[in-house]
Amino acid sequence: MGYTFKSQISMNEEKLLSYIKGEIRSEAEITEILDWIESTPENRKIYNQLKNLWVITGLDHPDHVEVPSFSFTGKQQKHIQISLFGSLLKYAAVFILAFVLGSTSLYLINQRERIALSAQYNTIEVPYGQRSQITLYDGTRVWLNSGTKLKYPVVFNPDTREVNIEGEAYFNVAKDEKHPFVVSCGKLKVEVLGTHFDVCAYPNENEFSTTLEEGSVKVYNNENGKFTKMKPGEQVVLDRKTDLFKLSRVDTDLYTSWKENLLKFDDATFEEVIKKMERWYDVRITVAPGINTKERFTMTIKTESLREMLLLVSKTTKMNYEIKESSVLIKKP
Amino acid sequence: MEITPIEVVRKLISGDEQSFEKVYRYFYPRLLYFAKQYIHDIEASKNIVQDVFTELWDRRNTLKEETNLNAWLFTVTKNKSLKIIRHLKSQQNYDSYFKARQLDVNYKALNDFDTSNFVFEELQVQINIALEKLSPACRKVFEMCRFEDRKNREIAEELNLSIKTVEAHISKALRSLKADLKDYLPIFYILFHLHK
Repeated sequence: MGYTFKSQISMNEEKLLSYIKGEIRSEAEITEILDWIESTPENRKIYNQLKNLWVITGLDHPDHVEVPSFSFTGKQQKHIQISLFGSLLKYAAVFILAFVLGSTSLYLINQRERIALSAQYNTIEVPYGQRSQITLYDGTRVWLNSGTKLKYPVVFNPDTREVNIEGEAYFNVAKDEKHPFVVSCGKLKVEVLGTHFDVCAYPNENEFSTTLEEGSVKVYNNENGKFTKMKPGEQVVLDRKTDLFKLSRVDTDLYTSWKENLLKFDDATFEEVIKKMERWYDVRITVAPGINTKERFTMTIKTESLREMLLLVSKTTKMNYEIKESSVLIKKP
Repeated sequence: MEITPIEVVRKLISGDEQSFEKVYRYFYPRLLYFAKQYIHDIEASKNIVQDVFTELWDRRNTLKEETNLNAWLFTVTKNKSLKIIRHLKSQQNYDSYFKARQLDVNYKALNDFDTSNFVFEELQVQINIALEKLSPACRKVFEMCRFEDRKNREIAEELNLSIKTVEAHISKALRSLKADLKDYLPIFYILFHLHK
C-alpha cells in the first residue's frame, strides 16, 4: 500500500530526510529540494508523509525543555528569547570581542564570562515511568533513568566539568584530559577523564553504586575523602550507613541495559525487582503478607506494558496481582 | 505515565488543578516538539503551547467526559500552529522568499496531519510494535538516527557499518513504519477505528 521508491529516486528519500532533520544548510540544495516537492502533487505527498512520519515517531522523545509553571488565574508569561541560547550567544559575542581586543584581554574576559556562566545551572527532571537522554555542552552524552534529576552548569567552569545527580544516569563522557568530569551525588563523587559508566544514587536507597563499562574512574566518599580506583567491568557500592566501599566484578550489562529500554535481573531478590519496577512503570507496588520477597529472579523486561509484565510474572511464579489505578497489589493466588 | 482519559477529563471538567497539572507536565514538551517541527521558531512554539493550555483550562466546562483529550490537545495545537505559520509567511518580505517557501511546505504537511482521532498511548504502542518487527540491527540504527539524533556517519562509525548499510537500514525502517502507521499518516487516512 505504501509508496515504493524507485531506485532512480531513492536518493531523494535520504536527501529529503536530511532536509527534514535540518541537516542541510546550503540554500542551493534546499531550493532544489523545495523545487522537487512543489513539482508534482505526488512528490508533495511523499514529502508530507515522510515529514509527518518523522514527527510522529519523535513525539514521545521530545527535547528537554523547562516546563514553565502554569498560572491558573491570569495571563501566562509570553516567552522572550533569553534562556540557554541567549547565554551562549552572549558568550560567543564576548569571545569575538575579546578576540578583536587581543590575547590578554581574551583570556581575562573569556575566563570571567565563563565563570559567570558556569554559575548558572540547568536542571532536568525525568518523571517516574519515563527515561531520557541529553547531550551536554562539552559533548558528553547522558542517559537518565526514571525518577532522576540532573543539574549541570550552562557552561562548564574552566577547571572541571561538574554535574550533580539524584537517581540513575549513564554517562558517555567526551574525552578531555585537561578537564576532569565529576559526577556528585550526595556522599559519592565519581571523577573521570573520558569513559562510559553508570551511576545509581537514588536518595531513598541505602546504597549508591557506580558501574564502569569502559575507561577508568576514581570514586570518592565526599565525607571522609577516601577513594578507590575502578577498572572496566567493576562495580563499586557505597554503603551510606557504614561509609564502606565494596568493589566487585559484575556483568555490566545488568546495570546499563536500561538505557536500551531493557530491564535485566540476574538472581535478584523480589524486593529489588519491585523497587525497579515501581520506578520503571511509575506505580506503587504493595506485597501481601505471605509472599516471599527474598525469592530470586532472573529475567529481562523488554518494552512490555505493566499489564503484560504482571501477567508474565503471575504465569511463571506462584503469585497473583490486582491493579487499582496507579497501584498494584501482589498476592497469593 | 498512564493517562486514563475518562478519569482525567472528568476531574479536569470539575476544575481539579492537580489533574490539569499532570496533563500539562506530560504534554507540554510533546506539544512543543510537535509545533516546533513545523514552525521552526522555538519562542513562537512555546507561546502556542501556552495558549493551548490556557484555552484548555478556560474552556474546561465545554469538554465532555468522552472527549478524546489527546486529539483535542493535538488538534488545537495544529490549528494554532497553522494560523501562526500563515502569519509568519505573510510577514516575510521579498528578501525572505526562501524562508516563506519553506514555511509553506511545512504548512501543507501539517495540514495533512490528521489529529482528529489521535490517541497518544495507542500510537506509542503501534510504534513499538512496528519497531519490534525490525531486525535488531535495523532497529538499533533507526533508534540512533531518530531518538538520539545521530548523524549517519556517526552511526556507521560506532556500529562499524558502511554508510550505505546505515542508509539502507533507515530506509527499510521507514518503509516498515510507514506501512504500520498508515492510519496516522495523511494520504491513507480513510478509516479510523482506534477506539475499541
